[in-house]
Amino acid sequence: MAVCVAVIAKENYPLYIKTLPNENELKFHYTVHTSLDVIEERIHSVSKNTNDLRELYLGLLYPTEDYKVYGYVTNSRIKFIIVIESTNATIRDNEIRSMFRKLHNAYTDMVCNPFYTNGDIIEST
Amino acid sequence: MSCPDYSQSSEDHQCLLVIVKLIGTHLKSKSYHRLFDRISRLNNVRIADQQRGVWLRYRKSYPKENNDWGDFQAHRKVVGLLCVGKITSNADIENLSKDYEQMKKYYANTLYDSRCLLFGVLADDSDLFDDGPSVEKNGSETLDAGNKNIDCPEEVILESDHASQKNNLPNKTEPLQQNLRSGVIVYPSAECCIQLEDHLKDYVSSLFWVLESKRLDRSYEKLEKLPLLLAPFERVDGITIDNEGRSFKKRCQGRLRKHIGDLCLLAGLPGEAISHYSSAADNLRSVNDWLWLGAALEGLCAASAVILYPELHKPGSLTRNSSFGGSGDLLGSRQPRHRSGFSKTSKKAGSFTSSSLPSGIDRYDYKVKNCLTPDEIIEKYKEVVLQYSKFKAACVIETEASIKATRILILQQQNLLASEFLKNLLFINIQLSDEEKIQRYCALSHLYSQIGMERKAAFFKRVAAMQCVAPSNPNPAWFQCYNLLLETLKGYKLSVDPKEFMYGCKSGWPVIQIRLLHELVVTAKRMGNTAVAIRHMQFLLHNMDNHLSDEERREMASMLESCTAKVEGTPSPLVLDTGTILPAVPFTRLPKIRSFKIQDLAPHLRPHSKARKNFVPPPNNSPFIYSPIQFGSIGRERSKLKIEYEWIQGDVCEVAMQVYNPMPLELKVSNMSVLAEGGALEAFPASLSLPAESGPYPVNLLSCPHAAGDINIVGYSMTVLGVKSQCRFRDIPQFKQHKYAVKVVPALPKLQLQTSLAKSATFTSMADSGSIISSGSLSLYAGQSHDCAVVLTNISTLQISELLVTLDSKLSKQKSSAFFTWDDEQLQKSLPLEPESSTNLTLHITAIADFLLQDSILADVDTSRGDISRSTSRCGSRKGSTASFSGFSETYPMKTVEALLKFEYSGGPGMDAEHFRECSVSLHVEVQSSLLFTKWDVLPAEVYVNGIAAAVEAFALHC
Repeated sequence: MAVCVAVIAKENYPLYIKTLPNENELKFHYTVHTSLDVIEERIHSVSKNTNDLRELYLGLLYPTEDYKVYGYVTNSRIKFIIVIESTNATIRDNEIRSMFRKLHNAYTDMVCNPFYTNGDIIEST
Repeated sequence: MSCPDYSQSSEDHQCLLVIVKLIGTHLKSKSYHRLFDRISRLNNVRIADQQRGVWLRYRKSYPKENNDWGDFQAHRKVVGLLCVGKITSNADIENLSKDYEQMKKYYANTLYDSRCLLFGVLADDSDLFDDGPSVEKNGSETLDAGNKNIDCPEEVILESDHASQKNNLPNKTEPLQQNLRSGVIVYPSAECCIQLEDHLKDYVSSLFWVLESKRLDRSYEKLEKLPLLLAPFERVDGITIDNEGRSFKKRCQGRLRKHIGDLCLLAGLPGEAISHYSSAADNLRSVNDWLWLGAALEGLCAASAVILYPELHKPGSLTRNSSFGGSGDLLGSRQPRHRSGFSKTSKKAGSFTSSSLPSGIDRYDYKVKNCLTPDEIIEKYKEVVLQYSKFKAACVIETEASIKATRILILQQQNLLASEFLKNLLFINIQLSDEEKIQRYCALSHLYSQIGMERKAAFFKRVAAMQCVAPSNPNPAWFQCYNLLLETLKGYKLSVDPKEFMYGCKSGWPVIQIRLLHELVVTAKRMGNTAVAIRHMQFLLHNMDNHLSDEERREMASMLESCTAKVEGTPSPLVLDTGTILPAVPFTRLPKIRSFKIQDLAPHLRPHSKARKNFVPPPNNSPFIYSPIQFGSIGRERSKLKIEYEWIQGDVCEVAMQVYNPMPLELKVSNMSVLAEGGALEAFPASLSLPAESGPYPVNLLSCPHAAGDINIVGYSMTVLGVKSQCRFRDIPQFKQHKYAVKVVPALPKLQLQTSLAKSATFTSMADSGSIISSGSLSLYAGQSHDCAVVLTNISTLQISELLVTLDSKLSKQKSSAFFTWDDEQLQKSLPLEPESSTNLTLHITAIADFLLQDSILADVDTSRGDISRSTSRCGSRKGSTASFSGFSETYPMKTVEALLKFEYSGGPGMDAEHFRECSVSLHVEVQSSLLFTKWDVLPAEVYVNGIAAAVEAFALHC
């Protein structure tokens, strides 16, 4: 089970962030925020080498003592980040991929909403 | 070795370590630092007759336990010692020499050579050092036996140079001579020591020769039993390995080989070093000597890096030369050395091959055998870190190795890999004091920012800041914490300048930004600098308000108010001790301004220009009657800035604004006034209280210009929540115009008009009615006349010296001049009109009217013409009943004459500038019919005498 899910806009500000244990929210904010560095570096290094066909799933961005941070970047540079507890060994890479895919689909559905303007903060109901 | 040196880089492996020590108490620490900088500039010395150079690394202090690691890695060994001190008297020389000896003893195990540089001896004493006997024994005291033959000739040359220069001076200081120890050089002063560099070069070459002799020393090969070099902790732990056997011998060989590799690298032979290192690594690997294997590999990496990136040193040394003489740069050795080489080379690092060497730099044969490729260096560094991590006592070495690897990766622009090394660095568990932890986090942050990971850099800076004030810390360093926090702003895309931080534009991470600002506020408060805390609070409240909840905003506002109760918030930039400037944060959105309009003066107070009045518009020289193309639109733009109307010096002028309060709390705005540039404008502050989330409210700001000329209105100032802010239009995005220019004309007098007539109930229908300040109405029968007095009072402090009265009415000119008459001469005689005095103008009004009734009015009244009897009977009935009279008067309506009596007056300085004011009295005269001829006929002459009475058929007499 993921402990934190975040959707980040192209300009690197948060569109949506949800954490499980609410009391530690700020910590996840920091974790997700710093992980942007790695994402940017990854995107940058990939786009330099190959022109297109970048894999959306970035995989494990970096492990901290307690958490593992996974990243996913859409073609429109919307970033998804999922944080998972390090102790949780049951989740495999494939499951994380499918989580990201679901998240991407949900995001696509949300963008299809004609009342949503691009770049607005996403509010979950 | 307890604390890692975060400034380490792989090229430090080829540097000789020299300690520059301050001895004595006379030399001020500032000049010591300056001297240190000067000495540090000499970091590369070319050795004469050798195609090699020596690199140097200077430190101000070096703990002895670090020195103990010198066997493990030769560049950690203190090989040189420079003592600097100031002497004021001859006795000092003796004392300092003693200190110098002590210092020498302290590092005696490793020292190759040393010098003592003394400053401040008078010119005639300065030959103290060059006594013959001391030359012979100098420098070589601490040397190992067998080096003298190499070392001494150099020294002799050095000293004899001086001897030749100074020997001509009389030798007065005979007794002191004996006390002088070797290697002491005396200079007149710290500023005046041109030869310092030359002496240092000589000194460095002496170091080199000692090193060279050690390198070439093959005596150990003859030894039966090889010495086993040990890392300090191995000595303490006790050696568990047996001292016999093949594997032990191999171990000794390997370690010794590695040591020789170190020496080669120091001596400027990286190629040779590589071959030593690689054979050492093979040896050590076979006997599972992991620690030393790590060291050998690290040496291999360092030597390869030196060969691959030789220009690393070059730009650095160049900048050092260019900053020659700059004494402001007092970077202590504890701070990470920032080599400009990094930034310069990293740009082109993508194409990093040794062929990119600039020409002119001597190339070692860079295709050295076994030299590692850039990728191999990183691979090897990974192994190095792995090997070191097997030993808990080598954690410092491991940390430094990680840092060196990171530095090389930065050069190669492999940022992700670099971050891996840095991450690994975090997991190395070193017991550190709080101070050292802060240093560690700062170093990490610095490295992260070098690989472009600003967010991570900011994160670690913040961690360092928090460490400064950790609850466990008995004396928290709030000031340091605050400065570190300030440095993180960039990483979080924040700025202390509200202009740089685009409001509403989504950038950065609001939650974290708000948190950081809160931390800044708290830290500044704990620092005791309330003004700074207020500044940050202002920023938080003003620029982050769209991310704050209502509750938070209310909380912030009350916090701000409680702070400003103690210290008033100023509108000027704050300068911190560190030189950082915190610009003012004007509350341009608290309250929000919707419109800002400069108001013209009331019409009767407006200044008129005589020049403009007589101005004839120039004939249009364009061939077009109308053209949609506007020529010179730029000029018009500029003129737009100018308000068409003018203000008058000394008159109260007005600006109308509309304000909104977007905050969920009541805003009390006080001292709100106009902010003007370029002229004296006395503002009359306004205060208002705006209920929560409401608006618009009109506000009129009054001000009074005190000097003639142009005034630029650039904004407004006010005090909100106890903070004084100056809001300029250029800071408010919704204002396209940055300033409003208003012309102020010189002072003009003011005239008050009063008439003896009753005020008229209706307003005049005349055009140009703006200047009316008084009115009078009068009802007259046709033919009647009336004198009315107009009182002219000068209510200003200037005298009225010019007065022109004109009359404006709808009547024909001839008629009107008969209708209203006045004595202009009398009036002109009363001029000039002194302040507070008044004069009378008598206006003679004569109701001129036609006594003939027009037919159209009469048509329905009287159809039978010439019927005398009816007329008389009507006359009689009028006499009998007043009711019928009223009906009658309706039938014969009164005429209304409207007129404007205009006064154009001027005086004081305004008159000199050809300005005048205009005011007027509207006059409303009802002319009622007195006698009307409804019918008349021309009678024949014979009945003329009797006929008069009959001919006047009808009349109305109203008196």
